[in-house]
Amino acid sequence: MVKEVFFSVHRGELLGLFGRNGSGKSTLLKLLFGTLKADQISFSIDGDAIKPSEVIPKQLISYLPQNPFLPKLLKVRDVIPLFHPSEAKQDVVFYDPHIASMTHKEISTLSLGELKYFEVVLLSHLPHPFMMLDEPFSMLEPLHKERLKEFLHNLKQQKGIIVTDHYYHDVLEITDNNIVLKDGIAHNASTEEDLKKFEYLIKK
Amino acid sequence: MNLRPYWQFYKTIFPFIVTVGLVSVGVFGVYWGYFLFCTLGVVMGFIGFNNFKKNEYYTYYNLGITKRKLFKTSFIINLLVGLPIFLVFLALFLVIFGKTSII
Repeated sequence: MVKEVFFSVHRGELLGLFGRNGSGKSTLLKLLFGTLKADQISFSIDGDAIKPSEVIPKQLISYLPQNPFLPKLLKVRDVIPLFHPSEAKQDVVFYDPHIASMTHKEISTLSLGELKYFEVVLLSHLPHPFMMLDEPFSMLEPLHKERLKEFLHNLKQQKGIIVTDHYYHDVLEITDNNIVLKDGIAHNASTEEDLKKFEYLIKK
Repeated sequence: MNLRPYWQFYKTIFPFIVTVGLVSVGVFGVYWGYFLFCTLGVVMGFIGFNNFKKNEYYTYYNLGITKRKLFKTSFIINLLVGLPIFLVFLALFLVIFGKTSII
């Protein structure tokens, strides 16, 4: 499914990844994360060749999957120390203005927007130099989408970020570069016209 | 080293482990029940987690913890947890049934 994909992303850069359903976007992210095995893959971080099996134990790339991943029966205030043993980091997350009001809530009772924002904030404070987000804007109301976009825009100062989502306007607003997957091959794209050229959007 | 995630994972799979333990004790007696609790229990815990909570693996992956690490630590925690439980069950069986096997 994923045949020829070449790209680079630097710390301080946000890369958008587009492609129709079934084009291999999530597959590509999972191949990089190491949870799916590739027939052939090679990538490096800061010039050092990395095996996909090293990504998780060396905490090189964090990954926000499409579906919720936090333990549902825990409360927000109990999940924070699970991810961040240091009190200083816990305070940063705990007192985030959009999280402070929901720390008493159980994960299963959070709205989709609240949960997605909380997941992104939790992952953003981990030491990974790179982060991948799989459809973070999916089904979010406008308010939560704007919050998340603002957060990601600020976060890219510290990390290299890859975002894939079908809300292409929102992705194009915050990304520095973009690629489109078509027939397993990655193509550079900068504008909506490029997305039409590679048949991600319909030409009118 | 942050031990909380390992303990959280073990708590999540514990209901599956204890179910295997109780069934094994009921069918095979305390000694075999303890052995299966310590071995098969953790395996069933992982199978249960895979079936009902698979996406929660990403919590642990993002914390740098692989499935293999989770399995090893769960196995060790289970041995540490299992011994006092085993001794309590042994005592109960001896008191109630006067023996350590139902069959």
